Amino acid sequence: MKILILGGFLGSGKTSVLLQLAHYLVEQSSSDQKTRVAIIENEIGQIGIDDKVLRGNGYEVRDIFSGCVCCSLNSELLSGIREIKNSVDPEWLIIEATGVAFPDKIAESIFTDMGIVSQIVTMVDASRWKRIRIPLENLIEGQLSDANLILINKTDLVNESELVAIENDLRKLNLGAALYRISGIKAIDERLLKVIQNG
Amino acid sequence: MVKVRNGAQLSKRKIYQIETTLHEGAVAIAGETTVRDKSFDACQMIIQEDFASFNDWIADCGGIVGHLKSFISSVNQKAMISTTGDQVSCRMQPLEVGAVVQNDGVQISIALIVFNIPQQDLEAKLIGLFERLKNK
Repeated sequence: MKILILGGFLGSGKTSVLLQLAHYLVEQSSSDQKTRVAIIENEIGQIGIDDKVLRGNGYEVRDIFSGCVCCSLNSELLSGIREIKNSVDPEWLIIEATGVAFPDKIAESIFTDMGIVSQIVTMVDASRWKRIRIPLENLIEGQLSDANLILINKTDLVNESELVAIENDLRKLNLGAALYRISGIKAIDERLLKVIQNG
Repeated sequence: MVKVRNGAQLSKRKIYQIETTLHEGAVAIAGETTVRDKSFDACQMIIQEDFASFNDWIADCGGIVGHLKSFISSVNQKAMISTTGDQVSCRMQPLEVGAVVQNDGVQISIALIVFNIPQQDLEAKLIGLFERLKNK
């Protein structure tokens, strides 16, 4: 079971990307496993919204609500992962973190507990980068620092010079991550989905 | 993280099921209700109007919208309404094949996550929205 943690600030487009990625992984899978993709949905509030969207698109979702799996609900996350591994053992497990979670903490706890190295994909909302970059500095930097891949979303809403500035800023925060631009107005390029699939 | 099982305002009312969570400087308030005397479209309009109004209020107060989201469903329609501080969007959602749908009014879930706004003020806004859904 490969684990992908989808992180990034609130409203950055995690659920939209998750839907496209899950669809791609299911389509591309060559395995005979009945369950190819499992999803864990974590929402900070007691009531989920994104899980309803995912279910409406035909996915079974395990909810972990009312807290964050990177801290207060960490044990619930780990027991949830073990349960999924033991019951359906999917090819992929995608964990959609809350918009205020630190994906590296989630990855660290999974590695410590299960020895599985997770892939971290962090979303960035280009249209709000300037607005949140400084006021929420610790959170934003923490979400990006250990990402393997960073998807800069909503690129249609900013101009090229702003995008270049964002990319430069991101490279200062995480030199090792691959950066890609995406936009909500068109589907993610299949080549990029393959990059994510191949880690 | 701090959880408030009954928001300060809500303990007086005990009508709506909501919970407030504080995490990384964010105030996250979520609530649910069922509206039986209004149409799906009417509920959708009220929520969209209030989210737009919340955006303005939060900006005026120097706060930052994490997101404002709502999922509304009736027997034959589902939609997600959301905003991150600018435009409020409404996306119709597919109806689940084979799902058991309650023919019981309009089910509404709302989640607000906001930074730099007092908890009680945000709770009051959500209560105001539920009141509008109930009374207007």
